[in-house]
Amino acid sequence: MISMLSLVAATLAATAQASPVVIRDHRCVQASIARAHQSITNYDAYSTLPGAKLEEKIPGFGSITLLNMIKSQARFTTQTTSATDGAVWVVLQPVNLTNAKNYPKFLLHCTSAYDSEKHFTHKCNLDKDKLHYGLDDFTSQLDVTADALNCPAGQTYLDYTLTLDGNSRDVDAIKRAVTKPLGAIIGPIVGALFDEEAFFRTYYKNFYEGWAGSL
Amino acid sequence: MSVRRARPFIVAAAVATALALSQGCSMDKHMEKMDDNTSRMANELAGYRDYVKTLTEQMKVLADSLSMLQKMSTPMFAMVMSKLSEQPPASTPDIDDVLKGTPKPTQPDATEGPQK
Repeated sequence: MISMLSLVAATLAATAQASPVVIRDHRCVQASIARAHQSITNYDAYSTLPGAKLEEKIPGFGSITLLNMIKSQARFTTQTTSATDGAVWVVLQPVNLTNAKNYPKFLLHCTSAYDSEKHFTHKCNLDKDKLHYGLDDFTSQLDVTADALNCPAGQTYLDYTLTLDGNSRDVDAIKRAVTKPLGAIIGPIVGALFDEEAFFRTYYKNFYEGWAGSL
Repeated sequence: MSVRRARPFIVAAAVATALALSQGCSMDKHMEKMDDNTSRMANELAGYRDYVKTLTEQMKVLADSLSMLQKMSTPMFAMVMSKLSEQPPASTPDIDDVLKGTPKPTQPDATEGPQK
């Protein structure tokens, strides 16, 4: 209960500002570069990764699913072992909503290319001309290097940056849909979990960590 | 023994007596000071005892409040958990629908608008 109250307090504090969410992460993984490339471009498997579902654990009561990736589909125009170019369609289900209208959904244009045998870059950008809900912008870049300087021998270095902009109106609508059945007193407390900045930041941090951990 | 011969002893005895008296006087003052300190410490300890008593009472009130809050929060969390339990997702467009479809504007939420 205390952890939930702290999270509520933290998210309430974060509600005061709405700025793009930026996530930066550097880490070494045991996987080879080829394995990292195969995994990051395996978009159809994204929804089955451990980080695809973000849960809030409430000790003694179980856990609430905050956001769950229910669809990740890809259509490639280029797909080789060293380069890819394609569209990726992502749909997320917030909590237990059964009205698809309130599901964050967006189409990404993703590319990957080996600059050398020891380095590849993977980039994704939101296709703003296609249907999107919940997000106004999404840009990610992952640099993967066989880096003897930053990592122990045999490990691979991941350098990840994600910038995204939540759409406040959409997030407010999701929040209302989730909290309405909870009533006027408890609803706003649970609603504090759905601050767009904290909401998407936590989700994508969890997602990335889940992906990196699966390598 | 003549008085003349006994004078040094008389002086010595007088000095010794004076010294003893002056030391006795100093000891008395020291004892008085100790009594003062002991009395002040006793007062302070009594103050601390009252403070600890008040603190204990306040902690009991706090413990009772926390216990009551926990009792109240249990059904609240149970209600939240039951209302937010996982539900199967609704059907959503596939990538091919999105790729061939025209851009769609964001739909306004059905919960928006005036309540009737």
